[in-house]
Amino acid sequence: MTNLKNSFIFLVLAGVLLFANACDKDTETAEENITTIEVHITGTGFDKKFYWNDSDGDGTANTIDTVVIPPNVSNLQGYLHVYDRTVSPEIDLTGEIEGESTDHLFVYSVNNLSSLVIKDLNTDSNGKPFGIKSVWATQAANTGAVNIKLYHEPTDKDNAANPGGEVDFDVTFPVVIR
Amino acid sequence: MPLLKGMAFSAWLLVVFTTVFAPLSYAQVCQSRLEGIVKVIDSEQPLAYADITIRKYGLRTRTDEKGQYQFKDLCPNVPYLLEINYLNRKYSTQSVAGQMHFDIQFPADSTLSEVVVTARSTPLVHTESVAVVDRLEMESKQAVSLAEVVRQIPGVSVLQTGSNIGKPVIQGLHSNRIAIVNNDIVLESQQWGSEHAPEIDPFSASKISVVKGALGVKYGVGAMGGAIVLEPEPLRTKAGWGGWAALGGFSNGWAGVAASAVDYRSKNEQWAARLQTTAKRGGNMRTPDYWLYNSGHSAFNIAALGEWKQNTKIKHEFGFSRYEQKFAVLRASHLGNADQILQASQLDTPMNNIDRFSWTIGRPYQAIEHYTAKYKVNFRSSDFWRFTSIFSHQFNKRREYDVVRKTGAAADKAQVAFRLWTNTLDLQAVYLGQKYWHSEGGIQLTQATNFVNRGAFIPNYYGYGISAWAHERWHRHDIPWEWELGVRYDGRASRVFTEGNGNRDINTTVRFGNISGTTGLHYNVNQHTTITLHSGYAWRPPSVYELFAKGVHHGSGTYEEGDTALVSEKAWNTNLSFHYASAKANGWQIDLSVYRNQIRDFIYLDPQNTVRITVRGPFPAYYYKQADAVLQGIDAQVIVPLLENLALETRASIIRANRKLEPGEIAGKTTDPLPLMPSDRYQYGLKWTQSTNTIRCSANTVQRQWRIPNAGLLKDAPKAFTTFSLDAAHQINRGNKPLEIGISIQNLTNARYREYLNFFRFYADEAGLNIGIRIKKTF
Repeated sequence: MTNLKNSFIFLVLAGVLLFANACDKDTETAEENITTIEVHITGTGFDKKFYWNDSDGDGTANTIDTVVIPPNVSNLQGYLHVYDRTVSPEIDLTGEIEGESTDHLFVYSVNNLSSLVIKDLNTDSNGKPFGIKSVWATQAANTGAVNIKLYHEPTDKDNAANPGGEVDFDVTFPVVIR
Repeated sequence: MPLLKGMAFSAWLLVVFTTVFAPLSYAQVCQSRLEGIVKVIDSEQPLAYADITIRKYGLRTRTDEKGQYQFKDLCPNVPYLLEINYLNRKYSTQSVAGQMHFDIQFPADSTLSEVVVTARSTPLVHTESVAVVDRLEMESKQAVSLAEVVRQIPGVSVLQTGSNIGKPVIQGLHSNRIAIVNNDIVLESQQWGSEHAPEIDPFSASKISVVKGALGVKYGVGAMGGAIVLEPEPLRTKAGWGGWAALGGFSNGWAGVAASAVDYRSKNEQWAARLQTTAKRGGNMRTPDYWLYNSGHSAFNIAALGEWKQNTKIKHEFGFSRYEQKFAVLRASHLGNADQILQASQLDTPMNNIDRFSWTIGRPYQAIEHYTAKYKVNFRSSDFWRFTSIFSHQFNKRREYDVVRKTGAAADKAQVAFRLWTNTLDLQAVYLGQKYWHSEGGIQLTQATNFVNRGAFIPNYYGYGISAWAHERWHRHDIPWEWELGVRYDGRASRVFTEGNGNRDINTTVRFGNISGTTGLHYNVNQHTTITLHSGYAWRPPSVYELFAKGVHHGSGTYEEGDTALVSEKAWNTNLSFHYASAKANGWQIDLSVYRNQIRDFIYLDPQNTVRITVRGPFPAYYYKQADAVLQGIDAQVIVPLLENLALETRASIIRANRKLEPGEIAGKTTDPLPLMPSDRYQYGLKWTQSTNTIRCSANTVQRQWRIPNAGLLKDAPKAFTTFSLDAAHQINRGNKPLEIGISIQNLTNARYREYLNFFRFYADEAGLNIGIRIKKTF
């Protein structure tokens, strides 16, 4: 009978050893979704927010605002906000991104719209481009589009065409200047 | 030397075994016969149809109806170790030098201590095509991964995701279409993704074989292309302690591995146990030109086996294993959207790469745990009936860590987690009462629970399965034919649901059921030559991700969508194999296998002409679709003796895989190649063996894959390449406790290449020169 006992003890020990970790609660996972980009544009007597919203992150339910801004204003202030709306209440990721400004780069490109210039991107703590804030200068009334990308951990912040890193978002807003 | 010629050589004996254990130089010619009768001890009853092996010389015969056996062309003054296998009972005995008539008393139940009831149910006949990994290959690769261990077998290739993650491909099929069977248990894990490596530690096995063919009857749903079967070293048979310890190191990635096993059998020999552990650690790998940033790994695996012989009729077996692995995923592969992937694929050097060595496993990485528990009872109620019951429990936990903001809520957490629990109960019966027949049957019950965290690519599910099967084998000693026939039914149901997934609520049950069949014919042309024909019918239900996936698969940079209308895949796989092995120890050996696997409703990802615009930018869309497909090809291995100790080894694997097109799908074409099929590959090398020393130098040529689908690929397949490798092993014998040392050099010429079957071919080259050394001491 001692053998039975021995083998039983062995089994229990093996079981404890091997499964000690199997039953613990799974530490919560946390996804980092960017679903919504807010372009907040302010100027003298002008204050509007425009949204590019992909609430499931899969492109199945996109709602995209048209950015409508007045002509012939040289100092509209642009300020971007970034949200995760897959959860309720939504998570505002803007603070996190600003806190890690050296690890992020916003890149703007204006398509088919000669009367809009986006300039004076703000800089990160190392004096390199960051771009969460910008200045939008408009001329005559026209229509076109603006593409905004956020790069995470870019390897070359001075090369806006290919800064490396990973694209966190890549959205295009239609723009109407009127 | 024409020695050992004309031995009773049952040719289905696993080929590679003979090369490994073959005698190395035999100077004299021996022509004596060793013969005798095998009887059940203390009775006059002969033991008919028992297998007898002289393993050292790769010889095998079978007793006839009167229990008589005969080996030809043996040396008269040598004692031979005979291994008798009868209905999974094993007995070894040594013949007496100079005495060529040798009767054997096979122990009956009363002398159980001398009978080893093997843990595995060795089939009497293999009509499928089976290849066993040779020992040198096993020892030089088991520190790397399971996929690397089986890679050299003709017809096997490896689907890779970077340098760490590899999954074996058998005749073009992988993942859910093959079975991986470790110590009787079919591995159940998140095997659907190409970036999911099998959770198996090759150090826990002493024998790894690849079985090609449709094996639905044996392993249930999914085994349409074949199986990889791992068997642990049998527990020690004598009372006392034993074991081994091994150390290994690799120059590329400065990787190290330590593995050991401790075996024990109690004084009364009734119970035995083993504890086996493996620990691994490696840093960034290097290509010929640059380091691959974030390509390290770490692992810690532990396995325990136990057995208890309760009495002469009942034996209990226990097994536990814990597998824990962390794989870094190449930083350069982690990109935001399809535009960026395209941009990266056009560069010659990886994007975002930091060109230096580091041990750090940073984000992105995978952390995987897999637990297995097994309890098996063997019960022999009489000489005719044998029952086996196996209960197994598996728990798989897979976590994927993405590149995230360092200060955010996600900073210390995984982004995706999968948890899968599987319980399986297997009941089997074997009946041997009918002359010439070996009858088996059984039922199997399975239950699985799969949980995925919120917002994931696939939903949660509960799965249930029930299966029943029966199998007959027929063999008569005096007739060169053997045949088998088997049938099985599997029913599967899954309740699929999502929890708080927002806009995509699923709550449905899907059911699938189908039969599988197997039949095979084995013909011994003569003592050296056999021909086998195996035809099997296997199926698998569409998996939950193929039915319900919807979203961006960030690993591949694609948007994928499942289809709930998919039906089961059905494979009809026929394999014709020819085997010839010269009776000479280092003689000619030829293995040829021709196969055709016809799959109805093959499920594949069909590239769409649309691009899904997400907040991350554009992703090309792929939908799961079905079409009939045919995979056919040739696997070949020829060993040519050149000199006494030198042989030329050549291997070839050729496959053609196409799916039928719908009329007008592609103008002027009726078929389109399936994606990610291995291109033609050849190996040729020299193997030198003397006594306990082996050296193998081989070249591996992989052709460019020209047969790629019409649409959906980012970039053409990479160019053809040839790599060279060198493996050597030396054994120092001290009594029966040898010390083995070995060296293994991969990519000897430090060649720069990319492989079509590697998903990271878009981002980086394959690893360069890698020198590995190893030492193993048996206690």
